[in-house]
Amino acid sequence: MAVKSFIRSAWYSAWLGWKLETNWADPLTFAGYYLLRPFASLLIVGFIFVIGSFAGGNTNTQYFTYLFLGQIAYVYVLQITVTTGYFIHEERAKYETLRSVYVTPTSIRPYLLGRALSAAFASTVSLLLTIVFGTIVFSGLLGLNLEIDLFRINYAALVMSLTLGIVSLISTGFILSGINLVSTRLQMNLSEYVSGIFFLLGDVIFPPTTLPYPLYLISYVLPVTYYTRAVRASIIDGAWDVVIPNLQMLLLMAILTTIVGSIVFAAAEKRAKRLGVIDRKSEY
Amino acid sequence: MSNSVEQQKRKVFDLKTIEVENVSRIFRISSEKEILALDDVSLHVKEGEVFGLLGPNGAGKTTLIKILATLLLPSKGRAFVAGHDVVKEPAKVRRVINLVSGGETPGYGSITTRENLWFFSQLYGLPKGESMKRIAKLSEDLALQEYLNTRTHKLSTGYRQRLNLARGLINDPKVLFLDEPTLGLDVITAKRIREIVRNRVKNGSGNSILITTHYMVEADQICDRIAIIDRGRMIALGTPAELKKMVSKQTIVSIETQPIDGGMDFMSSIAGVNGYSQTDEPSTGRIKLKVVLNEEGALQNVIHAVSARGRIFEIAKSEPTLEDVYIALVGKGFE
Amino acid sequence: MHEFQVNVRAAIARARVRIKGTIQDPAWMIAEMIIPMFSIGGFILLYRALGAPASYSGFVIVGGTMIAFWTNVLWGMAAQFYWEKEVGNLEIYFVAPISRMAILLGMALGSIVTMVLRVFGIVLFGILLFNVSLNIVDPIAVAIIFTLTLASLYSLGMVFSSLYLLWGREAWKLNELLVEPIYFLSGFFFQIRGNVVVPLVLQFASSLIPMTFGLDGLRKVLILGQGLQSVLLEVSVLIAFSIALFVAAHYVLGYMENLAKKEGRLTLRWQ
Repeated sequence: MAVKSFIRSAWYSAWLGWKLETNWADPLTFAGYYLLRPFASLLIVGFIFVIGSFAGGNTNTQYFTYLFLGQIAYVYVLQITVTTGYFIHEERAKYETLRSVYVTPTSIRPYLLGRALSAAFASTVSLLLTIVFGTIVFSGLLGLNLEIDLFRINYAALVMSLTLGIVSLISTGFILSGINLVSTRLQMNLSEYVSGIFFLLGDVIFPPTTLPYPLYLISYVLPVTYYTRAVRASIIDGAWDVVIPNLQMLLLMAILTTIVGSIVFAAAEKRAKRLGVIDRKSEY
Repeated sequence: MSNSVEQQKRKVFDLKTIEVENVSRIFRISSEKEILALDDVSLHVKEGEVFGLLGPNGAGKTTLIKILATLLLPSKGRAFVAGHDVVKEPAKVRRVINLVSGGETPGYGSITTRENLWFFSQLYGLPKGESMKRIAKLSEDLALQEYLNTRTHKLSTGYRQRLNLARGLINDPKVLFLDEPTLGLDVITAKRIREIVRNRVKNGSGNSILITTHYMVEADQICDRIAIIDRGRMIALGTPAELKKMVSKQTIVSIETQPIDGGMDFMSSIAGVNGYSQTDEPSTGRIKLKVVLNEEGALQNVIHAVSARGRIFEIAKSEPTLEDVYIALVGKGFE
Repeated sequence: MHEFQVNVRAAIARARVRIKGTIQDPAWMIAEMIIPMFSIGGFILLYRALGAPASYSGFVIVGGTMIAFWTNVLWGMAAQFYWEKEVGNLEIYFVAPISRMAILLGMALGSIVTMVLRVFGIVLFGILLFNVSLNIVDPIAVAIIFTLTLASLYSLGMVFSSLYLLWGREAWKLNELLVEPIYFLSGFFFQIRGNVVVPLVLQFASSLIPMTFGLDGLRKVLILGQGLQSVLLEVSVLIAFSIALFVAAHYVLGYMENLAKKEGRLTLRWQ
């Protein structure tokens, strides 16, 4: 019964999140919105490659494919982390609904999960559109050789990588929301910090090993590192023997993040009630 | 001779700080749906007057205040504040007005009450000395001194509302708009706010106040004149005494009864009943009916109809109130 | 009291409120300093991995610094109207006898503490961690370009603010939408205008944004060691943008306010 009620709440929350994300515009504008931001990010990194490699003489197309896929995988990281990181602030200060949710018999968790799932769904739209338009611009218009063979992609592994990536990112979102629940100071900045760290150390645009010791050691404990690698391996190599070790690590990280996320969020809820900050807000 | 008439006219005109002429306002909800929030309303507020707009939620009171406070344009008609057209001369209107909306707590939570008040005084260009003097006076009037150095996110609802009123008075406005200023406040704070409202207009200060409320007693206590608004239309205008006189020939009775299955809709069909309102009494689990009768003889019909459906605990005749006026005019109480 | 004086007082008061709020919130100040460093660091390392000249790292630092101002214009000024509307302050501003531009100017001035810290932090970060060297030969040219860039940028922000008088969430989404595409089109991290490897259509689109000229000018006078003579085009375009946008802001704010009052959306919340 409790599970049923949890799923129902999560489902309605996902629906609400989807409505909040989409009902301000017609479907075309919405699709444009979900394409433009990640696509522009891809263009920035892509053009840094084009301009930097032209000036530096290093036009390694393997590296461009690496960059391209890293940036594509990062679409999930950015959107899920930002949505879940912003969730508490939005519910507490903007819509002032956090208090109302807390006085209902259901917990806040299915709401947060539902909103994160709707963000994951919206990011999937972004991700697919970014791949298509990114390929058209860089491969078609600028003539860069993207070393992606549609027939070599291990689609099963790719779906698994993306799913496990979503699980670990949502769990990371629970950790961020827990921190935001207790502190009214960090709020949106927290997800910016975390997505920034993921960008720098998560094997997104360069291998973390190029960073000085001991900075790159951090990358080993970030689920994003394994998620990005698993996505790349599924698309570039495709062979199971290459993909499986990455997937195994990603699965392990997803389980660990889920456990840590649950513990942190539960502790934060308790502390927030003790501190009386469930409905506190401040603006200047 | 004609000069003197002209002077007289001008004097009368000058005495009106607010003039509303046939103002209507339509809100477009969707391409097919429109709402007529104000329907051809005309009224004026005199200098030194507390003028009340009384009506239930959604009657159009706030819409009229927003038009007068230059926040909304009328769809039809004209309105003047201190002789200035609210549509054509909004800047001139803004120099002499301020607006306080009940239930709202504008300002910045991370700074203190004093800093917030100082900030709002600067929107009117008050020099520092003058600003501090007014803050001291207002905080004394509103018993805010103790909280002047407290960050406002730590204030209780009542004190935030006091701060809001102090903000509304910081520029000593000639015309003050109060939109449900005591909404959700405790009895003591509401009483203090009413006292301040009354004090502002006495002693020939020349200040005027336009207040909206759906609390009948509040309107009765503090307003010199009242306009009753229902669904965008002004249905009555006068002093509280004049309005009550409208129902002086009618009989008003209070009936306490047990909750009746199927509701009280049958009341409307009883011969001789002009209107009624009902209030739940949670402490006793009973219902209090206020019935306005066209003639005393109709009371028998009411007793018969009610007692056939449930037990009557008490019947009493009562003095007319503004609520009875509203019931007599609209046929029911505020819902 | 003279209208101008009232507006100046209002702007200063709004700035003071923001400065006070910022100082009370060190976590926010630290965030303002650190957050941009992730992408700046990432892009510098990327340029290095590609073997690009050292000056390119300097370009990233210049871009990162100017992003601070662009972010402030978008979120600290334009989108701030959204918050003011939600908490009921916008209504108070519009009932007061002051210009909306005074309030916006106050918000911009109030961000000066965060901005200075952010710029200082980024430059120090670039110099200490990445050995980026600035090459300034004409400080006056730097001051002129910088001031003009800010003038055009903040005027553009005032134009954006007007959208919030009519809309809420739609304008917020537009703000969000403008973040990365403008980073790209203005060339925050690389030169777009006059770059042979960039398609002409992009160069043209880029020329429509004042920030592009500001960044081009700053790159020349801060990193490439050029003087006022070499940035005359940028200076002229920025002057034109600043005047045009400031005048446009005045009219657009008035127009949108009137439209919002007509449609009853000026103080409408939960949009």
